[in-house]
Amino acid sequence: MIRLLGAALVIGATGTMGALGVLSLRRRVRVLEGLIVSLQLMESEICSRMTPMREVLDMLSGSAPACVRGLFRRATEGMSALGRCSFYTIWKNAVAGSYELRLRPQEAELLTELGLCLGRYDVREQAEAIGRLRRRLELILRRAEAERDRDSRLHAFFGIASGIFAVIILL
Amino acid sequence: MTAGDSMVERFDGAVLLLPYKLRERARSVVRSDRVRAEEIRLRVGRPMSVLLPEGELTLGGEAVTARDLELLVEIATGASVHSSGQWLKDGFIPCRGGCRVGLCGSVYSSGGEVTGFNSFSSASIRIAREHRGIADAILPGLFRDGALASTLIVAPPGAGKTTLLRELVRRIASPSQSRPGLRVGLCDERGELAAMRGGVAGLDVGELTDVLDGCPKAQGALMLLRTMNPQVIAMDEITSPEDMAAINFARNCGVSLLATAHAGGLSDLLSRPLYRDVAGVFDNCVTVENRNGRRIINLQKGGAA
Repeated sequence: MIRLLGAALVIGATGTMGALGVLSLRRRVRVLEGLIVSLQLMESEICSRMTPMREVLDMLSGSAPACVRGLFRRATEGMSALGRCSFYTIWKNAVAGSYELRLRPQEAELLTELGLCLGRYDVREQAEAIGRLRRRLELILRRAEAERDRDSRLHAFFGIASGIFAVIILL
Repeated sequence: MTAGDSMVERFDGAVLLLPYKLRERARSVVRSDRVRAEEIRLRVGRPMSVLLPEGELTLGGEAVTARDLELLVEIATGASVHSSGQWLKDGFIPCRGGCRVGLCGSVYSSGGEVTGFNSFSSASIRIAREHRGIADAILPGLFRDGALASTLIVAPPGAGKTTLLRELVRRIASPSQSRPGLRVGLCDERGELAAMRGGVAGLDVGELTDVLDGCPKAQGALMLLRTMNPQVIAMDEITSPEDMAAINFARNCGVSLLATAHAGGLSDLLSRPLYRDVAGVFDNCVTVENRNGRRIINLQKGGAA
């Protein structure tokens, strides 16, 4: 009975690890989608309504997809330090502090670079920078979706299979 | 709160537009100078200074850097150059509290029009001032048969035109025992006259004043005429043929006008082609001079000519 319970626990644990892997892949896709939608909103606000950056960030910290709101909330909070440091530094710190996004280094770098242009240049140049970043993120998103479709089953299968394998070995 | 306290508060508000490293130096200015300060001036490679009625007071300390001016612009625009685009192209940024940051540097242009700045070399933070009572001496003379006669305030830059205009608007739009207030439509293109914030005027412009801010003067005057039924239209700094056209139009609609123009004096003003029609539009001319830190206001009645 104890052996059976142990086997169930081992399979359960490895299965959970597999499921977490699947969730992580799905989450990555959601975060990238969230960032792309937020950048669209940001572009519209800046280009169509000339909304000041503080208001854009404040709006996004409330209405952007939930998984990316933290980034904009941190940037909004950081705006109180404007004058002590530049907007670029505020934005860079917000990106660096957004661990929950689990961005890969290249993605974090792309997002950080946007801060060099945001609020600093005229509408056209900002729109170009946001558009460029969006296109890069869309490419990354497509790869992330392919990765999710390809690896989800693999994660699930290996999670359970490695549990069964371990049980067989241990028994 | 006394008038002095209010001026110190305005100075301190202007200091908040400076990058952090320059704020302490600006805060070291003694109270008597803070009360009288008209501008905070920054020039790359030189220490910051404060403009007082008698001249500039250098604050010493570290020289201002180009990076400081970039930070100043970032603070003044709230890291939103796109929101201040047109103003920035004209070389200034209106800020909270009625302050105005004027900029100088290398501009880039396209099709003969300035499109922005490549770099900044100097900046001046103009502090909005309220001088209650400065219009007392001339105010009764501006009325003819109980109605306000159209009045043009003429003075060189920095003499106090805007301050006088604001005070006149406040007095005219506030009912008193001697006369009822008039409805004033205030066209505040640069946001310096009323310092609107969330629909509330940061500077007192009277009870019966309707403020249209951020709008080009020519367009604003027409909008006010169509929408707010003003008895008086007030605007700062007539500088373009469009402004003159709007003024003529408003005058023909039976509205009294209060406006300002840059000039050394009335003869200087009338020698310029743009202002040739002024004589037919304005009934009074007020000149403001700054002599050794003292403001001298003269009213010339019966036509600006």
